[in-house]
Amino acid sequence: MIRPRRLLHRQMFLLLAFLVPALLFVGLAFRPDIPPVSKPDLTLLAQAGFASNIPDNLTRVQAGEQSFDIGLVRNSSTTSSLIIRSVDPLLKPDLLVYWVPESIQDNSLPDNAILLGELMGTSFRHMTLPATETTEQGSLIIYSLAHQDVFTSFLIPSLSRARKGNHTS
Amino acid sequence: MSVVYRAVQWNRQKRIYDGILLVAVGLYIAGFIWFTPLFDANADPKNVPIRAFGSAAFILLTIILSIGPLCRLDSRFLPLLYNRRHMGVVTCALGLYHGYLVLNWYHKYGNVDPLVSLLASNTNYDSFFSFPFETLGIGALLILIVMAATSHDFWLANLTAPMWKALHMGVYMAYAFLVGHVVLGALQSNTHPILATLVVLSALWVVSLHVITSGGERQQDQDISTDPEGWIDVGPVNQIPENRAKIVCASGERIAIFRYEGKVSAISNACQHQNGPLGEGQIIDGLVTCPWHGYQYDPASGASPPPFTEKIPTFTVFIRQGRVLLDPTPHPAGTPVEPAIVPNPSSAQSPDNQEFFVGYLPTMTKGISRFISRRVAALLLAVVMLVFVLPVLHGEYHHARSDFRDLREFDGFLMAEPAPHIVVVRPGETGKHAFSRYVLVGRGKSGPKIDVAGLNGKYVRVRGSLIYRDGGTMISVKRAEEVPAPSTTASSINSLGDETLGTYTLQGEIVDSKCYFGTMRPGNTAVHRQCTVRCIAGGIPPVFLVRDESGNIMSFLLVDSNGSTVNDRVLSMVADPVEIKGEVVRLDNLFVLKADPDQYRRL
Repeated sequence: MIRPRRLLHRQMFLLLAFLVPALLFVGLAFRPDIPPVSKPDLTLLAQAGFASNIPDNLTRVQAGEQSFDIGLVRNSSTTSSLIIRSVDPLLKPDLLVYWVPESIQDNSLPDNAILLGELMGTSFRHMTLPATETTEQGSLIIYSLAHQDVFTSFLIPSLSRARKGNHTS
Repeated sequence: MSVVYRAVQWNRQKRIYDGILLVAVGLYIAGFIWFTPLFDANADPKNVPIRAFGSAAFILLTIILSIGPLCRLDSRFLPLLYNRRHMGVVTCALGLYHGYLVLNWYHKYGNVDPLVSLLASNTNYDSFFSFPFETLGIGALLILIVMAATSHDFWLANLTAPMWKALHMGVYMAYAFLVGHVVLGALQSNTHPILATLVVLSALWVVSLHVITSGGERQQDQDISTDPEGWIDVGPVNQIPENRAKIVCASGERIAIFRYEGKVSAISNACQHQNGPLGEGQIIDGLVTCPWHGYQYDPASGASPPPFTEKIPTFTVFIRQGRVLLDPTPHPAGTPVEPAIVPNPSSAQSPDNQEFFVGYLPTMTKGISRFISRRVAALLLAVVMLVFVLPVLHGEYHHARSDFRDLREFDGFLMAEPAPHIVVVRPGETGKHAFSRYVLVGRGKSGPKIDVAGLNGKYVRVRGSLIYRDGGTMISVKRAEEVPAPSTTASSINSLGDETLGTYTLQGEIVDSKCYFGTMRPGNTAVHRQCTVRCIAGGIPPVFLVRDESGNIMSFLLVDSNGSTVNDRVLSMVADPVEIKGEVVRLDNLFVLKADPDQYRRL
């Protein structure tokens, strides 16, 4: 190169030696982040069915190729809550969780199925079981309303209960 | 060298060079596209090629910008410089295809032309993190296009080497733009520390190499002063190796003083072709040969041998008491000057063992061949490693789906507010939340193209495809028609209602529901900003994403305090952290946040 071009090259890289590291530093170190929901607003997530306090004694249930973490929380002498999440994200639309008192024989949703709530990704979901002692037995059905088919079902395992009130509802 | 212009003057080295280049680029792109779905089953098949071509262009430009300074540090890298222009053209082609894919994915199917969408969807030029990083990419691409278009020797000869060189130094600005494009785009969405580290290291590598070598050049550019008679003392003649040159700087430019066949001649150090450093070349077959591309000049006249016509200035030299004296006043280019005769020719330093090779020679010398082969092999190995590493680092594809090929029918009540949706009755004993609500959108970046007002409140059969993610479900509608409601569900519309949950102040991100819930992966953050703008402007309902510390994400349909749509009023705030205070209303599985957009606060 001729001298004026060498000078231009030097000047450009003196500029870039400042500009590029500054760009990288500011662009990476100060990446804007969205803060999580503040504590008072967590009630909103609880109303949407997200469980915030997860019991320690979760049981992992294998249902076909899917795994679910399940726990029980006793709310009162007659009611219990189910804490459930899918271990892996489920690629099915509008997954509803139903309870039935018996085991499932075929791949359909019985008329007596009781809706407990909705699954959302791998989030822990809080669902109040119907107010009878027997609901801690029976089966859970994961039903895709948009596909109108039973995704999977499984017997509720024998679950030890967490202490009363150890959840947010 | 050639007398007439040819598209490419092919020779063995160029074929090998281009072959390795194309195979490496092809393997990288094919590997990236092939491996990514193996690492992540949710990889978006439209998004992966965009990343493959974009990252390939960035890597190739990094390599290109490393070659020049590496050649200054070690001349054995020169064979890589020989055909560097082809690398530049390939980089431009990769960038162009990257842009084409972006236009056809993020900007197509909207309410404006894709090019208009690209240029006008984000005008936050006054913001650092919301800056339209695409503009930086366009800037880099325009520079690369100009460079590729003028890369041929036709332009080099007609623009003159200094002008051509100045034009092509725009590549440094292109690189800066490209770093900005990556930092403010991909690295805002992909926060993997290893990916950021790789980009930082590559940028620092390029900048450091150039700063170091330009510092060395500066030291060589110190003018040597003349004696009272106007001569420059170049130094003892026996310090100039046979067939090599000593370079001095005088009158603002470098001069190469060659010793050959018992003679000494001085010529300009700048080759007429690309202003390459002739003094770092050798005399081959009695001609000064440029180390960059092998252009040749007679050392006594500065003229290329016939039929070539290149000419460079010459200088008068003579030898006094064993020292070379130089008159720094140049003779016009091609002017023959009588060489100075070396009194004792045997006193010449024997040439060092530095090997010399230019690309048009039939075979590379063994030393250079070994040196280049090892480095090219290491580079190819690094590329292969990147093929495995980068797809993993790019793993930000969410578990979401758009089943656009799977058309289904859904029956339910169509509701126009707060956004067009159908209400589907949930089976079984449902208690309080007896319905699922699926928001309706149209094809492309638009709201549903059905008679929403006419069908409002009626029981309809909707035909369309599902879009879903993490419990959120939408329908891309092809058609909708009123059908008789089953007797068991006809009366259930009376139980439809909403539930006010209170007023909340929430911090989150505004996205378009269609892309976020499955059409695009990723369908949020800065890299998706322009598509979000286009979708919301086209009628896709905006939703507000809020997360808690456990990573649970809740989405809220955005309407104003009167329940009206806010699409046109939120465009400038999408993909940024935003705080919204408003009333939250629950419609079964839909949550609605009612707040006037002028009260939204960018964080």
